[in-house]
Amino acid sequence: MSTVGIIAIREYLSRLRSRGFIVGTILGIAGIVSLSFLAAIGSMLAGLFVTSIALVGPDRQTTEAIAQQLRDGHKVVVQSYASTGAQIAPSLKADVLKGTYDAALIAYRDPKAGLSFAYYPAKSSSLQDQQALRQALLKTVVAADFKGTSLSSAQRVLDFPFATTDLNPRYRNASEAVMAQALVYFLLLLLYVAVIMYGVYVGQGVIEEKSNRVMELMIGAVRPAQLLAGKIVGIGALALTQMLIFAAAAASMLVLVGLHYATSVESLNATAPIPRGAPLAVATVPASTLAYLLVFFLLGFFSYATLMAGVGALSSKAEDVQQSNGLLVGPIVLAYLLSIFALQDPDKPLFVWASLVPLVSPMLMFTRVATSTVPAWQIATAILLSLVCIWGFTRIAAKLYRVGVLMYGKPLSPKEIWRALRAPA
Amino acid sequence: MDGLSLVAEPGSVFGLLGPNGAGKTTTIRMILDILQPDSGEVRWAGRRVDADLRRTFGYLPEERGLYPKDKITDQLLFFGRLHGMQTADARARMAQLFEAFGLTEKLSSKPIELSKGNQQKVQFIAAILHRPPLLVLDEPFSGFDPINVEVVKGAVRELVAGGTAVLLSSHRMEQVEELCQQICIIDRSRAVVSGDLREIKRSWPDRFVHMTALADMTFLDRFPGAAARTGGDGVVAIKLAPQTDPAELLRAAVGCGPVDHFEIVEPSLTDIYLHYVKPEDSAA
Repeated sequence: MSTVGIIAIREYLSRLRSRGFIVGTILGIAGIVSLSFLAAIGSMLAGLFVTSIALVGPDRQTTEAIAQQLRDGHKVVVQSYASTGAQIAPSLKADVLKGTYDAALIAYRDPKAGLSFAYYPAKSSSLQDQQALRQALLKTVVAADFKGTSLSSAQRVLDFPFATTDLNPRYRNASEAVMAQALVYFLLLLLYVAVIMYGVYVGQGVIEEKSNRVMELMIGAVRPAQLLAGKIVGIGALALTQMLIFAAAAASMLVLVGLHYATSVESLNATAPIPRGAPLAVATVPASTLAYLLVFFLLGFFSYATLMAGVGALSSKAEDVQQSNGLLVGPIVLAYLLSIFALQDPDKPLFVWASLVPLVSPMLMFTRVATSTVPAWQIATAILLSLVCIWGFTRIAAKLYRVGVLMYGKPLSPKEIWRALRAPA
Repeated sequence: MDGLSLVAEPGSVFGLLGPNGAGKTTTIRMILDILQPDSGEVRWAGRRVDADLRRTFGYLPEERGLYPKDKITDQLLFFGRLHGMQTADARARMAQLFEAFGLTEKLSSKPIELSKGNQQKVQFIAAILHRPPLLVLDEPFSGFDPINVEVVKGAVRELVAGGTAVLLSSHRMEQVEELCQQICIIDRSRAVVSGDLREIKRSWPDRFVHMTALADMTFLDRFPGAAARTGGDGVVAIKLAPQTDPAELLRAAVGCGPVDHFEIVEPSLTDIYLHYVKPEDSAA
C-alpha cells in the first residue's frame, strides 16, 4: 500500500475510535432523532391546542353545515338543533366555564337579520379565533339565507374559481417548492457545519505530529507532502463516514416519522391541522441534488482543508491554528450568507457570478443547482475552478509543511514563507 | 555544513560529535534526505540516497514522541508499514523486540500509560523494527536510567554484530568512546577531526598522565604547557606538552608527596573534544 494510504488509514481509524468522534456522532444522531420527533410532537401539541366548540344550531341541516365548515381547525360538538336566540343556556355556560369546551357558538335565526351567531369564548386563545370563525361561517350563512332560490350571485362570488399553476418546472405545486427550499436550506446548513468542522480537524491534525514530535520519528520514512495528503484524505473519509451515519439516521427517522404521520393524518384529520407535505418531503429531494451535495461537500471540504492545512503547517501550537482558522471562516460565512439569499432568487447575476468563485462556489453553486436550473457550463466552471484552487492550495500547503514541520516554537517569518513557496516541490 | 565528508561502515558505529548548534542534526537530516545539501551528495552502498533507500534507514531523533493515545502496538505496526514491512512480519519482529526489552506486558498499553523510560524503549524499537541497514541515533541515551542505557547499548552492539551501520550523535563522551570505532567532531559547520578513534588517540601528540592528586601540585609549574584536571576520585588527569618526558614528571611528583598511582594513558575522547571545541563555540 502507498505511504499516503497507510497514513490515511491510521488517521481515519484512530480518529474513528476516538472518544470525541464517538460522542459527537451519538450526539448528532440523538439530535436528528429528537429533531424528527420535534415535528411529530409539534403536530401532537397542535392537536392539543385545537379549540373545542360546543355548537347550538337552529335546525339539523344548518347545524350540520356549520359543523362541517368549522371542523377544519376546530373540534366541534353539536349540543342541540333547537336554538331560539343568542342567549346561552346556563348549563352550557357552566360547561364552558368548567373547561369542558373552549367556547360555545350559538347559531339562531333572527327574524330580521336571518342566520345570526353568538360566540361565547372562555379563553383568550378562543377569542382570537373569532376572525377565522367569521370567515369559515360566511359560506354557510350565504347558503342558508339563499336556500331555495336559484344559485345566487353572492354564492358565485364566494365560490369563484381559483387555481394556482406554478411555472417553476422543478416543483409540482407551491408547497412542494417551500418544502424543497427548506430541505436545501437544511442541506446547506449541513454543508456549512461539515466544511467548518472537518476543515478545522485538518488544520489541527497537521500539527498533531509536530506538537507530539511523532513527525521526527516518521520523517525518515515519510515525506511531509505524503503526511499532509494522508491526513487530508483520512479526515475526509472520516467526515464522509460521519455524514453517512447522520444521513442514515435521518433517513430512518424520516421513514419512521413519515409512517407515524401517515397514520396520524388519518386519525387526527378531523381535528388537527397536519402539514400534509411533510412526509412527502423525502420524495421531493431529487437524487441529483444529493449527488451535487456530495460533489460540493468534497470540493468544499478539500478547498478549506488544504487552506487550513497550509495555515496549520505554519503554526506549531494548537492555539495558533485556532486563531488563524478564525480568519479562514470568513469566506465560509460569506458563502453561507450568499447562499441563504440565493435560496429566494438563485439566478440573480450576483449569485451567478459568485457561484463560480472557489471557496464560495461549493455552497452557493449547490444552492443554485438545488433550487434552479443552472446551465451546465456554469456548474462545470465552478467545479473546475474549485479543483484548480484545491491543487494550488495543496502545493502551497505541502511546501509550507515541508519547511514548517521541523521547526518548533518560532513561527516562520514572511521571508522564510516566501522562500519556501518559491522552492521546487 | 561546509565541505563535510564522512563514511559509516556496515558493522561499526560512527560517532558524530560537536557542540550544540555545530550542525550535527543538519548533517543527519541531509543523510536522511530531509534537507537537501546545496552541493555534494549522500550515497549508500554506492547508490544515491532517494525516497526508497531512505525508507530502509532507521532514525531515532533527539526530539521524539509517540501518539499519546494510540496503542503502542498499533503505532509500531504503522511505523513498520511506513518502512515497507508486511503486517505479519512487523508483528513477529515486534513481539521479539518487546521481549528483548522487557516490555511484553506493555503490548496493549498506550504511551500515556508508560513511564518515560519505557516510552523511550518503544521509540527505540520503532527505529529498529524494520531491520535498517543504517541506523541513525541522535542522543539515544537521553532520558534513560543507567540500567536502560546498558539495555540500549546491548541492543546497539547486537545490531552492529549483525552488520548494521550505526551513526551515533551524542554529548555523552563515555558512551561514544565505548561504542564508536570512527568519529567525526564538527564545529561551526566544519569537521575538525575525523577518522578511526584508536588511530586518532594513538597519534595524539600530547601525553596524558593519571596520578594521585597531591596536596601540593606546584611541581607542575616546572613543565611548560602542562594542564591538570582533578577528578572526584582523588586522581588528577594531566596533559603534558609533546616534548615532556613522563618519567621526569614522576620524579618531580615523588619529591612532593606519596604517589600511589601513576599511569601513562591515551587521551580520552573528552580530551580530544576539548582540544578542538572551545567553550565559546558551544551555543548552549
